[in-house]
Amino acid sequence: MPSMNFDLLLRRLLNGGVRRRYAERTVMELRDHHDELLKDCEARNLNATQTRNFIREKLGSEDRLVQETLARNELLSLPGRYPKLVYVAAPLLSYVAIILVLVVLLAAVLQAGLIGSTPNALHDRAMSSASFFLEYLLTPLLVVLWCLLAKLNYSVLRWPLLGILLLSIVGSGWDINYRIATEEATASWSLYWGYAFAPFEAIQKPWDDTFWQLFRLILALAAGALTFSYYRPEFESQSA
Amino acid sequence: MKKTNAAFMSGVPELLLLKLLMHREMYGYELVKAIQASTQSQIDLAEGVIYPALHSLEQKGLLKSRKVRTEGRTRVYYRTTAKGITRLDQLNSEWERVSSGINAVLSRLMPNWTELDRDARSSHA
Repeated sequence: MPSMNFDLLLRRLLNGGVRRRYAERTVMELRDHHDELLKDCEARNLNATQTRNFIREKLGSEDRLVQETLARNELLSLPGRYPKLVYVAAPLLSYVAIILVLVVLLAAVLQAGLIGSTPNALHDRAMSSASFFLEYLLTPLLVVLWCLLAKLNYSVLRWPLLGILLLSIVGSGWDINYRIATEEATASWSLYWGYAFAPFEAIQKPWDDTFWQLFRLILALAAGALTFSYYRPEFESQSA
Repeated sequence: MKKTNAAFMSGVPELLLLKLLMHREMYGYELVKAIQASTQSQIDLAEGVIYPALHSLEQKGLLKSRKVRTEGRTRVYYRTTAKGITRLDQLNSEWERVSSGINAVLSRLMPNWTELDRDARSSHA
């Protein structure tokens, strides 16, 4: 029986933010080292307890190995080095960047509709697709993406969870209203962000704005919860 | 055996690893044995911590590695790169400077050191 729990060690290294490549290789090399020490013990006719103690003494404790590895910044992944930046700031910043691009596109589409002499169904479709994407799809997509990133890096959940919560709150508070130009009226559009914080109203008056806001928030959080629960990336501690 | 003082040993593993791997490629266990043999077991490190040190040197481009499949397992062999040799020269001269400074304090520059030392010891006795 090994004197060291290699799977646990690998998990601790990954949780600490060590790059997957180095974490897996460390464990693979330690296994090999362990086997060599085992051969030494066999040659010296040590019993099981003596062997275990000898190997433990030689290799060092798991705590020490984890400490020594985590102390070397160059072996850490980007999320391992800057977890707040990667899991909290980056999703929010990417969300804002995408929103800005979309708003510019929406304005361009609407402007094109304004210039056109007749109402255009294509403009209407473009506007409705863009606002649907912005209101219902963008936040859950980003939430899933960052959950996958956190899971792939075996990061501790504190920062990813905070990032996902903030992203869900920020991303679900939008309300887009627009009107395509017709022969009778000019085009207009508006973009609001804010929360009504009226869950009872949402229940009493389903399908109004407050209800959809709450629905979007739950949708984003559910997307994150499902990804966290069901996505389990494999790691390899046997060989690299 | 008593483990070598970690704070005092700062930078020494890097020096030893670069030096030993300059002549021929070796894998972790082989390196540990080589360190023990070349230092006559005077330097005794927790053997497991050699791996983060090797990976760190590789990441900095001071070592290169290659994987070899042997006896049904993968073994990683390391060797010092040209950049590693430059770094080794730097570390070597730093080490020589520090050790000659310490030697000077301990022996040459203090002719009456032994006498002072004896007085201090007797006052503590």
